Amino acid sequence: MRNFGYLRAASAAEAVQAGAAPQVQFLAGGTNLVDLLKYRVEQPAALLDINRLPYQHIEELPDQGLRLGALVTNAATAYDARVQTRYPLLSSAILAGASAQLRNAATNGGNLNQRTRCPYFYDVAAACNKRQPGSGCAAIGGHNRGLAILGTSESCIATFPSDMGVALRVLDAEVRLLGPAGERVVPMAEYHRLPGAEPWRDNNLLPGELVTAIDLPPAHFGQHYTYLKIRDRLSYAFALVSVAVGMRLDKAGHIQEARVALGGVAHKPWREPRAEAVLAGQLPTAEVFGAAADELLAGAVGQGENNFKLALARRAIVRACQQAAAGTPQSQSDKHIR
Amino acid sequence: MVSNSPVPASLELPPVPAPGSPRRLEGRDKLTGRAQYAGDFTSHLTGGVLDAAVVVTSTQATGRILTIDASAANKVPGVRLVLTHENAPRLHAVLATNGAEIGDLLPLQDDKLHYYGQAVAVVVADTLAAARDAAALVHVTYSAPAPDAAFTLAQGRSRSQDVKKVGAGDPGQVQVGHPDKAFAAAPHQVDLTFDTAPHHHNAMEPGAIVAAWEADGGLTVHLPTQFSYGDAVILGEAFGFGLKERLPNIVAQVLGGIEFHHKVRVVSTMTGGAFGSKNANVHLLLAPMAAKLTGRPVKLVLDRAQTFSMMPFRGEMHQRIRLGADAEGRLQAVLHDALLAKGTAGQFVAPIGEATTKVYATPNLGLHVQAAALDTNAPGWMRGPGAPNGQFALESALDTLAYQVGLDPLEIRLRNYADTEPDTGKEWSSKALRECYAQGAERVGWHQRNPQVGSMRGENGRLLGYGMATAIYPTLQLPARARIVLGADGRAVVQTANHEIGQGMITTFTQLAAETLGLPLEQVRLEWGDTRLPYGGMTVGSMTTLSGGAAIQEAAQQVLKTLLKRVVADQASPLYNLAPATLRVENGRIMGPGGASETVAAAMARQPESPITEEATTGRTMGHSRYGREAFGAEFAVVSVDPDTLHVQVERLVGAFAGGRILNPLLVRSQLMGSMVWGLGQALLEQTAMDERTGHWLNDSLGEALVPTNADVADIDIILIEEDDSRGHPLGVKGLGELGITGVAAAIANAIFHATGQRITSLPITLDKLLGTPLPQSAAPASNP
Repeated sequence: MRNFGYLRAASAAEAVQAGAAPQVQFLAGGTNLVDLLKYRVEQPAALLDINRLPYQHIEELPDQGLRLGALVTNAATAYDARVQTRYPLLSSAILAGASAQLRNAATNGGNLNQRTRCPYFYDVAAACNKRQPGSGCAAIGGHNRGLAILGTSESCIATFPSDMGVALRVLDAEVRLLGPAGERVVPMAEYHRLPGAEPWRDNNLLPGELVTAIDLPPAHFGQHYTYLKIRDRLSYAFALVSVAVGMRLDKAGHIQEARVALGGVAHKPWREPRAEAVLAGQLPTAEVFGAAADELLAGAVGQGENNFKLALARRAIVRACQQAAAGTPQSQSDKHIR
Repeated sequence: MVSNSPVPASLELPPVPAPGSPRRLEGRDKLTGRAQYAGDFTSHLTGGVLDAAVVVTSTQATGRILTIDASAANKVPGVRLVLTHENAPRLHAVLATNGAEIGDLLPLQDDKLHYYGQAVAVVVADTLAAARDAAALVHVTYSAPAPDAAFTLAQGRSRSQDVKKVGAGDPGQVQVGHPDKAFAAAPHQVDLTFDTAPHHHNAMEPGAIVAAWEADGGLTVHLPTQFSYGDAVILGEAFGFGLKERLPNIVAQVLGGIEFHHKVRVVSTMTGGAFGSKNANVHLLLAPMAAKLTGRPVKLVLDRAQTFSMMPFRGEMHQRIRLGADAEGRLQAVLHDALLAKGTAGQFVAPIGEATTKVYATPNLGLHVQAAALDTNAPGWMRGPGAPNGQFALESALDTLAYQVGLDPLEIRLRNYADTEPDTGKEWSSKALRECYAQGAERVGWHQRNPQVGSMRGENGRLLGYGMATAIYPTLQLPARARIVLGADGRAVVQTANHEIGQGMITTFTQLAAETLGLPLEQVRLEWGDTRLPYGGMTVGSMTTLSGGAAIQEAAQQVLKTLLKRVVADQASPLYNLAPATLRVENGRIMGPGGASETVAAAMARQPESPITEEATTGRTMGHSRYGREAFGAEFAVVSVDPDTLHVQVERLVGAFAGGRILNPLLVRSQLMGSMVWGLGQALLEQTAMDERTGHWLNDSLGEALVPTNADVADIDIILIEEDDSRGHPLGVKGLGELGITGVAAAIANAIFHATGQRITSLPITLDKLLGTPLPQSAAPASNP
């Protein structure tokens, strides 16, 4: 770990001012950033501790939505009674991630800004355009079993590892930002980027911009939802493929609305309107879910070791849709896929 | 509630230890953090000074070091030394135990690279932070890597060579009868190949060492190790103490009763898991080299990633099994070909065919082991060490044969039961494997399953399967020496340089001495792990109790004999003039016929200047016996496979083990259970991923190298079947530390076959391997066992 300066922001205004300087990084829960410092993947001149800023609460919004403070921990969010009742999908996705210890420290804002788990990103001796722009991508043609099949580029095949983010994408959450130029709101769909030619840019944050809250719109998916995370082991492992589903069914059992997002397969939570259009108005059958899966996975390309993800993702999508339609969401405490 | 949280039907606590079967004596210290590990050492334990050393490792596997620029590192405040091949002390060649890398390759002696992650420098500083900072600033440049480097068996197959001796000297080539001819003529044939991934020990505690040179030129090191004497000899050789005690001669000296002593002292600290990885490691030499140049004590702790390249692992293995059987499923030929990875430095080749030559009766047997030297660090001993992989192959092939012949997998094992040792024809010292099969099958509900492949369904249409395999591990014993001193206070001190690596040696040895001496446990104290104590042997091969225990028992019997002689000759004793043979000692009291008695303490207190000291050396035959000596078990797995996602869940594991006399059921169960959990990990999760272009172990962290979590681990049932093995060993015990892992991967693979019809022949069985293959479509009625 390289020595770094440590600043503590007394106010949000001060934070965004100081945070706009190059070589300064915000420190919240630190569950990912501190590892990156130890591996020397990140070598900031200074860390700006934002943990005392006033983003510590979960609040009601006038439209029946909920505002999740950026500094509320993942655990406090997942176990919040309002979240559990009105956004069980979000709670479930958070509890599918990491470990209890990490969730106790990790924050909501930090969860959105965590870095990829690509092994070459963590290996400072390897080529990685995300870590060192222009150095190349060792993952292409290398050990890429866990990496992306959708939205990749010639310069990067990394995935965004969050579970929470996949549920937020289904919920059409909005990310509230504060920067030197003031406040703005970015929909989850536009928060993260595809790698393209600039894979070092994970998201669309501008210099100094800080996540202050995540706004959840009024809830619709209390009954028919699931977060299905497929991984090699059942706990403390990143997703090979994960699927977040929210559905509304009418009295006759037709799908009124369905939203499906994938994790572990792309540089951002992956959603495709065409796939959801396939589901709308249909009875929930394996065939319909399969057709939606094919739309969602259109254009997916394997990189060799991760070719299996194409088949696995299709199966997981169908299974997750079945879980959601049946109102039998995946348990995150038993963890066994039943 | 977001998720349903099932309440377990019965919350079972671990079994209460039987009388005389204490819980782990060091358990409280470990739980409270009082146990002293090498990494815990602070300067107050080393005379007020303790520098920190950090290793810099290579980022290239082959070629040469061109330059090492340490100028930036040297400018970091607190840095005392950047040790490289350019300034390192020249070492003398050493003879390392059992093929360890340092026997071929001493660190920092030249500019040549052998593998990615090789030590190329050591930075020593006043603080760990400074040393780490500086280590990152050491700039190394390399020549072009070798164009023909090979990091995997696929790349290095052309380097294959026959191996004469595997493991600690077992034959790598075996032929009994005419296996090729018999195979060709057999009406039933199975011919399968198997591939198993490399994986690392990942003990919780990484490699660590504290080295201090004394004013008189002597060297003291503290480290977690499985062989303190061996490490001392290596240090003595490497640093030119003029030792004549080369390793094979340690044993000769012990047998001759000569004490081993010179200027090197090795003290084993408490060890946070070893499993074969903590013995003759590179860092054993690095820390004393650094301390020699700085003239100050040094502590070196590897980081997690460094344990992947600077400590051994279980290497990649490729195997072919051919089984020929008659119409009734009786084996006519067993052929086992194996190709194992080894390092370009390091001679270790795992004893992969050990079990094949011992487990089933067959008139024709062939074992052909080859190894290919790859440009990686050297594989080494790892729990099993070859048996889990060998058994995975053999037992998968036998399972295939059973279905081919139309026999129950359990029946084919009974039909080929070996009543004598197959390769030698020796009678077994004891073998209750039939009982293991019977009791294990009963417990798991083997005979209630639907034997048809792909026929059983669980919840949500999950495919259920049952599988089994035989577990086998050799019962070994090495020479060991123990001293027992019974003091004037009636307390006994037991001394032997064996090692507590988590297996429970402290408890078992103390318990054994107390039982034999007739003293309560609290009156016996064990001193261990220090080369100033009598030679205790290597803590390897599941033989700690067999080797050290035998010596302790014999020494204790001698102490007892001397004590009884003394009391009957002592006029002040109420036992005066009684025949020693009529006396017995229980719970610290010597009792004679007719109610005469006194405490051991009282008897000893009358001659305070004359403690009783006895020493014993056992294991002179190096474990050779006129009997076949193996521990056996039967392992059963129940798995369910999700038909959509192909996720495999191990629902139950049942292991029935025949292990001779069980000294401490609690510790034995714990050992077997740990082994079985590891077997589960080997079956489904564990693989160290290598970048095949650079030779770099990529998932070199506990976050990315997957081992089972609680959620992955099944209900594990352990059945212990006692055997009278008194003709095999004076204590009647067998080695049980490794037996538990040996059949698990095979049992799980066989259960997956029963569930899905898919014969997966490579480990670990991850869902991508099952995804490529169709599942049974039979709409059999749901059956819930």
